[in-house]
Amino acid sequence: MKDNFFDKLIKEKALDHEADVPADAWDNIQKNKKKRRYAFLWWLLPFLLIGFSLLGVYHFSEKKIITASKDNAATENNISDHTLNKIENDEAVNNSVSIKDSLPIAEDVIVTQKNTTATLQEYNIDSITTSNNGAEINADKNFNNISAQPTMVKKKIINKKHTKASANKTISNVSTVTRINTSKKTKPSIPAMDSDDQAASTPYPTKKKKAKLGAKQNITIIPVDPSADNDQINLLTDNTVIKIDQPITILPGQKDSDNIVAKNIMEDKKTVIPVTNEPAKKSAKKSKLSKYIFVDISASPFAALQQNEQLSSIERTTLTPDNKTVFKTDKISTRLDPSIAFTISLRKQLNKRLSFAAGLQYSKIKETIRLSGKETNTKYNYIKRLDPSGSMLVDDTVQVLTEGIRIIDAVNSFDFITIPLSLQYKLFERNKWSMMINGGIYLNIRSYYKNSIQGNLEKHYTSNATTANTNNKITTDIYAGLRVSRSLSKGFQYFAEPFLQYNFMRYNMKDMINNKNIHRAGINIGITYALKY
Amino acid sequence: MTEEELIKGCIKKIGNCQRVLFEKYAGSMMSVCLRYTNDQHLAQDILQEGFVKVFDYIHQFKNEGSFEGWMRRVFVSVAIRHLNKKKMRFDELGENNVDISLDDPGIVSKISAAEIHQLIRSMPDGYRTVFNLHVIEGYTHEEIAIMLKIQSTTSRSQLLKARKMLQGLITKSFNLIVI
Repeated sequence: MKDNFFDKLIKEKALDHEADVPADAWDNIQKNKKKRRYAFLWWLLPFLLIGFSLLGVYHFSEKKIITASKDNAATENNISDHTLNKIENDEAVNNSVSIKDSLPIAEDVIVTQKNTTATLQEYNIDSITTSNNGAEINADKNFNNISAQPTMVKKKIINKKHTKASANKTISNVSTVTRINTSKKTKPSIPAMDSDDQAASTPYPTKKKKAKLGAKQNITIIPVDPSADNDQINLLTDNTVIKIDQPITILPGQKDSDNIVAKNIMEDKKTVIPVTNEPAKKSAKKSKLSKYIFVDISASPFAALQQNEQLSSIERTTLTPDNKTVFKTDKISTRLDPSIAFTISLRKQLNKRLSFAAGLQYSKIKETIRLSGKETNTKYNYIKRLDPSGSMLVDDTVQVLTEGIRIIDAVNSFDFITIPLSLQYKLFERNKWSMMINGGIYLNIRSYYKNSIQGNLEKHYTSNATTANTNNKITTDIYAGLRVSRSLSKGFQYFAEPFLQYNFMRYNMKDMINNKNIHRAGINIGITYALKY
Repeated sequence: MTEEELIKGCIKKIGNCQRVLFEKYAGSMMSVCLRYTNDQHLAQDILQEGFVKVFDYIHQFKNEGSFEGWMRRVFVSVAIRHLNKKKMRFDELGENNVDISLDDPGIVSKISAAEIHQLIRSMPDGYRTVFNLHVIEGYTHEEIAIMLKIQSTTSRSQLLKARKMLQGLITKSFNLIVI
């Protein structure tokens, strides 16, 4: 019996056969489908755990810093009290009143100076030096014949927790007591995606498909010199093309020497084009690749790691017509909160493994700041007093000095709009899974710093570093990530990508508390959609 | 419900349509799975995975050719993946086992589909797989070589040996039936 005939008979018989299906097959398929539906959650779990662990470690390490700074603040109060006593003695102020005794716990006393309208939480933990009952106060050099008059002003000290503490004192300073707490909630906006698993899912070609593939594998020789002799196609024998003006198609299996056109040789210019099937396959693959562009949409929770420039002190001077406040601190604590970046990018495959991506990213980082330092407030009171003769009232000015420790807590923010430019290299692809390394440059086209602390902050760096004139700066980061992706149906993929973003251009915007580099470590989680065009 | 409506329903992930599709093709697809593996449990796994894949990628079916043919190719690809994991051996069996030739075509037509199926299953993995892919599915030796990660010459020799072996088995089987 001929093999073909035998094969045909066997094929017919085999295709006619139907086997018994296990009774639980459908139930198992249903279960399998459900498992697959939630499989990605299990897959994401380790990445989420790693991400949250990193954030947790970072977060708690920062908490320690805050606790430490609080301790520092408490210590600072004691120091302040001593300083105060010294001031009192030095100036020999009669009946000077220090309200330190009446201050129960420094952190509970919240006093905001009248002229300080900062939109942030401020604590003025303080002892106030003042004069009473006709005592002479620091006379300003600009005023002659200053003799103090008793000024009776009430100052309220609010103590929320310790009600037993004496809250009223008769002192010569005008203050109002308020508590302003503005914790602004920032809304991150802007959303963000990899590739083809179709190979895995596509069945092997049938005869029809094979025919199609055959058609696709036509070899095309591109014109060498279009300028000369149009409509003349010149090809030589085995492996050399002399001059070609229009594409020549050689069907698979057909030798180039068999081509009738190829035999019309005009040996004018000798440009050698090797005619093999290899380029044809490559171009076929290339054209297949070039039909797709991938849209990546991702959200990236990250921990922002700061590298501060060494500060020696910060000074803030606030001037009003009858008040001058000087705040000076060398206790500066800043912390960057964990945040999320939203990215949308387009990715184009350059070849089987390499692809290029460009997109847009938005992120916002909150910076929690605590400044703890000494604030000196000078208040000028305009008074009427009797002239030496006692016959008439004359205008005079009394200067009242107030000193204390001020702790400023503020939440500032960085806004970033970034253009990520990166190259991805596919390490492997198996079944529905693929892994690629991703690296590139992140161009921060807008890095805007918003400072909520009022007043002009004068920063003194140990390295004599300077600050920019604006609150916006263009900076660049280097990005590296390892992407693991898995395909879903209909051209969708989801991915997770642990990444590191290293900032090598320091942020030194105008209102920044402290110049710094901001690096990021986090995980990109997103979806890729393959767009056909 | 026509096949087209059934496919549309499956694309929309309608459970009833998927169930109907399963019931319609489960038997023939189970036969495909069993032709590629001797292990009943593995065949069942392939069947389940194959149907899940069919439901996932049914939108890719372009109505070119028969739907059953497309489904079979999906199942074959799943089966081959499982076999590749198993590290199939393509050993050459001794000539003693394959020296019986089949001269009468009538013998084959007298044997039932189930018997043919059973005889194909009784062949060694390498023979059976190459035979299935080339004779029944219609793949070329070059394609088989890529799928099974072997040389095309190996595929050719395996097919020749498989064919001879099957002919021998049919002859033996027929003789037994006659007796």
